[in-house]
Amino acid sequence: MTVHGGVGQSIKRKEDARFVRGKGNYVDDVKLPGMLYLDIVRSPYAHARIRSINIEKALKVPGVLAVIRGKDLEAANLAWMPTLMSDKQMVLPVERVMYQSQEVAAVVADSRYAAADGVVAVEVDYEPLPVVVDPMKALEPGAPILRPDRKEQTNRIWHWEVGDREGTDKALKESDVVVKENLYIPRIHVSSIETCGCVASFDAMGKLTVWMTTQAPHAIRTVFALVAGLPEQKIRIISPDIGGGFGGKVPVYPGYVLAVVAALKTGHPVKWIEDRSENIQADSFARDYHISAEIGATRDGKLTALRVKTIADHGYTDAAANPSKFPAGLFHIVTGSYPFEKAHVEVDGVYTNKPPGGIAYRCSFRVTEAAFTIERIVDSLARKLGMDPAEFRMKNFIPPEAFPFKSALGWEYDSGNYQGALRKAMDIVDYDALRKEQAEKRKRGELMGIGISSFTEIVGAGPSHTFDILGLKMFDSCEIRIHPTGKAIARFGTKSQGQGHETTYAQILAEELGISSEDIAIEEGDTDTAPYGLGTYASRSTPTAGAAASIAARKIRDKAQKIAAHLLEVSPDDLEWKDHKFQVKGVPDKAKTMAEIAFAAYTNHPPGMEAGLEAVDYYDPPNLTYPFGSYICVVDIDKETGEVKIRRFVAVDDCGTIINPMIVEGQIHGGLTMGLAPALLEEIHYDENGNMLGGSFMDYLLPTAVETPKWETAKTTTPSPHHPIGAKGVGESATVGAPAAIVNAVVDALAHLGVTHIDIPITPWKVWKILHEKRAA
Amino acid sequence: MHFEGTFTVRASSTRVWSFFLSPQEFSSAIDDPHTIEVVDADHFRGTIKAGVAFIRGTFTWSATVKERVPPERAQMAVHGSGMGSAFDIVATLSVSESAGLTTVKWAADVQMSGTIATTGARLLQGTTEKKTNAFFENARKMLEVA
Repeated sequence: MTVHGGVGQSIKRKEDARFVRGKGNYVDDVKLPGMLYLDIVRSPYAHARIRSINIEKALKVPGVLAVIRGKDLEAANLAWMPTLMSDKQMVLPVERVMYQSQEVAAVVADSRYAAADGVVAVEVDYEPLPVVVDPMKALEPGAPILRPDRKEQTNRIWHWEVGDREGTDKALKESDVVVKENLYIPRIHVSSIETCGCVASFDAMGKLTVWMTTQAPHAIRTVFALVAGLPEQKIRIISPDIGGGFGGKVPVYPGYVLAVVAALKTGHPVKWIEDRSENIQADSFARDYHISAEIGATRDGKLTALRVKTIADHGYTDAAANPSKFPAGLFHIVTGSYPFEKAHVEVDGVYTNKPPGGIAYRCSFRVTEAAFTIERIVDSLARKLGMDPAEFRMKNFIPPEAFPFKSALGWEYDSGNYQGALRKAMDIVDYDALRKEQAEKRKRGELMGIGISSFTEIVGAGPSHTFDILGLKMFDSCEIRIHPTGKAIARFGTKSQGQGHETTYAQILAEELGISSEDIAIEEGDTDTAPYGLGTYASRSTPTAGAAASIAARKIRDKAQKIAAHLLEVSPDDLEWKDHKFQVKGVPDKAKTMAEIAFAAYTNHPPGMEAGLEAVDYYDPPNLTYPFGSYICVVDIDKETGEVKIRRFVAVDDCGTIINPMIVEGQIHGGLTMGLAPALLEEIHYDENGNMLGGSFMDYLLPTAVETPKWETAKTTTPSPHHPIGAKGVGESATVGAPAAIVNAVVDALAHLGVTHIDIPITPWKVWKILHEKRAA
Repeated sequence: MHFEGTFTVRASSTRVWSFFLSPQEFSSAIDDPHTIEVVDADHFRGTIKAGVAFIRGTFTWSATVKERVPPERAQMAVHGSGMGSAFDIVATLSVSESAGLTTVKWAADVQMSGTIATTGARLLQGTTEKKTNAFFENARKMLEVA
């Protein structure tokens, strides 16, 4: 017997009832009596000394009530704040601006328009300083030191390495074939539909409530308490509906702090909502990795070793949200789906005059960078060996029987069947027929390419013994209360930004408790009511909070079993949980449903037992989970224009047990589109003066329905052995896996011309130029 | 951005040189609405309403004469800001007269920062070049009429 809305059912998303009717409740929908508006003066320079800030004219603008400068904050020790990577960032600068569009002053007014007028009236006198845009130049001797406030007088933020350096050097030296590629993964932006913003309000008792676009409300509350010195019980963070986060709403932006300061200063609630250009130009970016990778193999195609060196451009401060132990995130998943015996990775974080960040844009802490690197260079190696890239992967995959598998860089993969996923993708796309077609087309001078990406993801941080952010351990939580009538409410430490938590969490609980998912309300995002958690990013909600839901539900079941035994007048040991109710073993007619048990929990519970039916669990996962997939992309290239057309894209994903197939498919569609974007369209570029070129959607090219192909999705199912229901997480897999498949397809189409790599985004101009250089147009 | 050009005008080199060093005169060759205030012989300031694409507004600017070699050479530095943007221009003028005609060689290094450079990047080069050319063409006409 199935329960309505249980695990594995494609029920419609509960939250969509309000979203499709325009009834969502976003931060900008919050309107409070007497609310003021904050707008921000931003630097036109990428690096400059502030000689003076004149606010006289701004204060005369009708409606303007206050202007906040860095020196005002300095007096309260608030001019700087910590980043989530234990670096420092300015709330407002006192002496120097470090990147174009950096916050310089804040204007508070009685309307959004007056605040904007006030911003224009603030006069800032700058003295331009030398700008460092290129991270390689930032490391050269004599480069201007961008952060003189640090003890280390260098632009190198940190150096981090893992693996066996000597062993890898030796293995590469002894390899029959070695391939090296330099790959640049450019700076990109999450560009979620809703920009960032907040409303800050103090009540009469001095309690601060902040409605905020944050993916991690509890962590933000703790940071606010530590930075501002406010008692944590007097801070309430409410994260209402969020219009997309993708990692961009994890950091603490100066605008949030400024709104709180403005509310304190004026005694009124203050709203700050950034506009689209501010969002693109000033908020945290993603990627920006300069990678040099070397891979070795024997002559017969057996992988031997991998060496990766990376320069990570972090802008003027390291404001990534990586776990404390791993400044380069989980980039050392770069050995991917292959059992290298030797590998070594080193990464250097570097300061430049660019906005801060290095956020996990729909990938679990630098995993997209890692997957792109390994899947790109494996393809290059196969080509050098004269082997088919599918055959080469099949020959080298970690075999299914090797799981749990310990990688050369220290990860323990929980489960996988990489051969199965690739075989399925090849069957769907009819790989052999495509290769024949390609050979025929090549004879006719037509350009067609087939690209493969067989990626391994790593998601679900904790476990807490290894993962923390600013010392906060990375567990997550669920609290369930079952009401007397058998309905329930459950609260979580995570925060959905469109993932569909209200549906999928309810499905997990429905399966565990035998209550229809329709009868279970899910709440997240209010720190006054939800249990403490680290929030939603890095595909961690299902592996952590989803697991907490299962475990908390099982705690309820333990109590429910005793109540059922009391009602049925049998021993608890005589009962079994079957068909979503407690039955007397061998007598299925003698049973109690959860609704009956819940009513009894408040009206007829056993003597000596507490009334009520509720539980909480703080789940600390024993390991990460390792979703995987195999993608095959088929492209045709227009020789006249250089345009790459994706003819087919087959995505076979394995995220373990699937809770809602429809939602998973939606996640994969969105993720693939976000993987297509950097492969072919998106890049944030700076000129030599640090001007961001393309700070609006006129130049920063998001894929639309026109550019997006028809995705063909399929699945294999390899449950995680350590997750309570075998789920692994899927939010980011497609973003992680797609770019390499697309680039491999384009390179495959041009390989006979001697092309081994093209940096992303692969624009028509880049391809057209190559075709002309190779005289193939 | 670097721009340069040459034009010939039927006027003496002394006249041409003094035109470009006179704030009231050279400012009359600017198409965009503007104000100008003479601080002293080498310093001027004012406002100008200009923009690129949809980013339009009022900029405040100040200019300093860096070099005067009458009637042959002059160099002027201009700094302006507004609308979340800033610009710095270093303009050099080289004047030579021959057979009643004066040849003017000009060069300008323009550095844009802020919203205009960011949002209007694609249009910046063309717009700036167009405005610069218009300025010198206006100047040439005014010099010949005079």
